[in-house]
Amino acid sequence: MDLLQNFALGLSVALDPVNLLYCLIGVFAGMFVGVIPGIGPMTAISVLFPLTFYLPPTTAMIMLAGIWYGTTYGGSVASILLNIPGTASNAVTCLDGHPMAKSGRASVALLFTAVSSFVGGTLGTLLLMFFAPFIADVALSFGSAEYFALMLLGIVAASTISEGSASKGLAAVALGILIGCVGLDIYTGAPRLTFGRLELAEGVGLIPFAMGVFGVAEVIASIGNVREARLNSSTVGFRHMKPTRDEMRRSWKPMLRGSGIGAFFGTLPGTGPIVAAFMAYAIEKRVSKTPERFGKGAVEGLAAPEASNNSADMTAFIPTLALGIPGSPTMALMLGALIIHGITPGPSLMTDEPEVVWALVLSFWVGNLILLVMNIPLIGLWVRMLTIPYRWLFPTILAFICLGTYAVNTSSFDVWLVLVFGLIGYGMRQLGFPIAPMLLGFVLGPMMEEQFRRAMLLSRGDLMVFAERPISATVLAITAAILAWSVWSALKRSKPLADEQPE
Amino acid sequence: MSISKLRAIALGAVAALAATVAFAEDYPSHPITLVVPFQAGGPTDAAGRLIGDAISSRIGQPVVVQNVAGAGSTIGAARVAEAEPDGYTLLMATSTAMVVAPHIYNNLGFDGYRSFDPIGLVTQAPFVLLVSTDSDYETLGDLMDYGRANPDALNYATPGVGTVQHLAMEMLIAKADVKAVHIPFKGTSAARTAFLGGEVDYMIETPNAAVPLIESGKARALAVLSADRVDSLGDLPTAKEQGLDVEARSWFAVMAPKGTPEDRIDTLRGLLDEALADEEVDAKMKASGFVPSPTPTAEFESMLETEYNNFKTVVESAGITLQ
Repeated sequence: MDLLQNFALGLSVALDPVNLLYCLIGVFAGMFVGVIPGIGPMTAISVLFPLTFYLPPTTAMIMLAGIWYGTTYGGSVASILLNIPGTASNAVTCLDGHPMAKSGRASVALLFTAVSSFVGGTLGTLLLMFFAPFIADVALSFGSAEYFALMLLGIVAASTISEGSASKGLAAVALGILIGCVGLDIYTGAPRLTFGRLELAEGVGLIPFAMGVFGVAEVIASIGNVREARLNSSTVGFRHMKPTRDEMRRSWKPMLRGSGIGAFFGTLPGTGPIVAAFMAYAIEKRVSKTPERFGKGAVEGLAAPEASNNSADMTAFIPTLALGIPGSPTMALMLGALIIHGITPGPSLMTDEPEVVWALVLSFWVGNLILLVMNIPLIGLWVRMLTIPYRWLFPTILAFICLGTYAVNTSSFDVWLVLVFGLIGYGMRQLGFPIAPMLLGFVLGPMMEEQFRRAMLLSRGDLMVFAERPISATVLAITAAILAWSVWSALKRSKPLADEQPE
Repeated sequence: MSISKLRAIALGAVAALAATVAFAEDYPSHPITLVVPFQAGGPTDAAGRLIGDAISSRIGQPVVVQNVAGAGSTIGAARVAEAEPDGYTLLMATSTAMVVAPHIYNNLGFDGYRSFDPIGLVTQAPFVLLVSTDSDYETLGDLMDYGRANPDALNYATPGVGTVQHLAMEMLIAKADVKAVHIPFKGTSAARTAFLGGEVDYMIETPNAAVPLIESGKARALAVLSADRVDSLGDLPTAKEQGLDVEARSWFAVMAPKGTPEDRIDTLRGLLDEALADEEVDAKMKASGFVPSPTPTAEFESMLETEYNNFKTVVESAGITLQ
C-alpha cells in the first residue's frame, strides 16, 4: 500500500542520525526560545533561517518545524510560572496555569501541559498523515462567507472566557478589534489610525501587541507586589509532580476535545493555534458542569488549550504541504527553506517530494516524543527559575522582549509599540479589564471584517450569501444558539437572586 | 569666539577629515549591508542571499543580509534611501517599491527609483494569467469576451490594492474594455487559496508559482504577459499574440542610495554582473524559480522609467488612491 510505503520511507529518513540530530536541535531550541517571553517561533525561525542554506531541504524543514512546535511546548512554562505567555498561542494557558502555580502546584501544571501537548501533537500528526489531501480540499471549500461565520462563532463563544464582569470582557474584545483595525484598509487602501506612520501601514504586529499587553504589563504589575505570593519553589521533584486521581480523570476528555478543536482551526489558513487555544478553552468552560472552577486553577482549562495549540501546530502543515499554500507567515518561512533548495511548493508537493513530506511528518511525532521525554525531567529546572530574584529575572525578561520584537523586522518602532501596549495592558489590569479577550478581538476582529467585506464584494452586496451557503448557515445557527443560551442562562441565574431579595 | 562655535568648527573639521579618509580608502574596506525588504525565507531573501554570497567571495568582505520587512517592501526601501550613500548599504529592490508605491502612497520618504542609483537588475518574471480548469475559458479571448458581455460578472484576485498584480490587471481589463470586480487579498498565498477554492475567476502569477498549479491540473494558463513566449510554459501564447498588447512583470534589482560615488557604483555593477554570470549562482537561482537577468545599465534605467510612467498613468486613470 502506498501509505505504508510512504510511512516506511518517511520513518527511515526521519530516524536518520543527522535528521534526528537536527530534530533534537530544533525542538530544543524551540522549547528554550518558547520559555523566554518575547522570542516566539517567528523570531527564532527567521534568526536561524540562514542556517538552512547549508542543510539539505528535508533536514532544514525538520529543524525549522521542530522550532515551530517546540516553542508552543515551551511557551506554556512562562505562562504557568510567570503569568506571561511565552508565545501568543499560550496566552490562554495563563488563565488556569498560573493560579495552579500560585497554589504550589506548578510541577503538576507543567506535567499536564507536557502530556496535553504531546496528546495534541500526536493526534494532529495522525490527522496530517492520513487525511491531509482530503482535509485540504475541505479547507479549500471554505470561502469568505464560511470564514466570516466561523470567526463570528469564535468571537461569540470565546469572548466571555475570562472571569468577572461580562461588560468588561466585551469592552476588552472591542478594544482589541479597534487596535486590529490599525493599518491600510485592504479593500480601499485608506489608512486607518496610522497617524501618518508608514510603519503602521500593515497594522500592529502580533508580537509587539502580545508582548506589551501580557509581558511588559505583568512585569510592571509585579514591581509593586514582589513580596506577595512568592511561589513555593521548594516543591520540586517527581513526588510533587504527581497529579491527583481526580485531576487525571478530569483531564483526558478535555485533551481529546482540545486536540480535535485545534486540528480543525489549525487547518484553516490564517486562523491557527491562537484561535484554536481560545476556542478549546471556551468550549471546555461551556461543557463543564462546574464552570466556576475555571480561572482558579482548573486542570481542564490547562489541558484543553495546550492540546489544542499543539494539535493546530501540526495541522497547520496540511494546507502548507497538501496545497503548497502557507497558512501563516511562519509557514511561509518554512516553505522558503524548500524554495531555496529548488523545491517549488504546489498542490503536487506530496506526490513529487514524498521523501521530504513524509520524513517531515514523521519527524513531528519523533519531535513530540523527544519534547515529552525531555520536558519531564526539565520541570524541576523550570520551577527553579522562580528562585531567581525578581530584580534579575524581570529586567532580563524585558530585555528579551525588546530583543525578540526588534529581531523580527529589525524595527525599533516595534519596540516603542511594546512599550505603548505595555502601558495599555497595565492600565487595563489596574482597572480590572481582562487581557485575554483583547488578544482574541485583536486576532479575530480584522479577519472577520476582511472576510465579511470580501463575501459582500463577491455576492455584490447580497447578505443572503451567508444563509444560502450550507456551512455558513449552520455555523451562524450555532452562533445564534450559543448567544440565546447565554442570555437564557444569565436570566435564569439572576432570577432566583431577584426572587430572594424581597425576603 | 564662543565655545559652541569652537565645538562646531572642531566637529566640522573631524567630519571633513573623516570624509577624506572615507574617500581615500579602498572600497570595500568593511562589510556591506544588503537590505532585503521582506522577512527571511521569501524569494527576494533567497535571491539576496545568493547574490550577497557571490559578491562577498569576490571582495573578501562579508555581505550582511538584513531583513527589514513591512508595508509591501517600502519600509526597507525607505531605510536604504535614507542611508549614507557610501556604497555600504544596498537594497534588494522590488518593482512594487520602485515603480508602483510612489504613485500610491504619499508618505514613503522616497520618490521611487529616483531616490536610488541602480546597480543592476537581478531577475524578472512575466505574469501568467490563470483560470480554473473547471471553467470553460480556453483562450484569453474567451475570458475577455465573457467579461465584455457581462459587465462586473468576473472576479479577479490580487495580493492587495496597489500591488503590481493589481495594476497589471487594471491595465489588461482597461485595454480589453472589460469591467471586472477586483477582489484584493492579503498576500499571494491568500489569493491563491481563494483561486483554488473557486471563489474568483482568474488571477496572475509568476511562472515559478504558476507551473505547479498548471501541472497538477488545478489551473489553466490563458496567456503570458510578456513580449515573447516563455520556455517553462510550453506553447502558451502571449497576450499580445491574442490581440491584447499588455506586458507586466515582477522584478527585483540591487539599488544604492542616490549620490553614491560613481567609482563605487561601477565597482558594484561589475561585481553584480560577475555574480549573475557565476554558474553556481545561475543554477541555484534557476532552481528557486528565477531567471537571472543581467541587463545593461542603460536598458535597465529606461525600463525603470517606462514602468514608472506606465503605472502612473494606470493609477491615475483607474482612480486608485490610497491617501
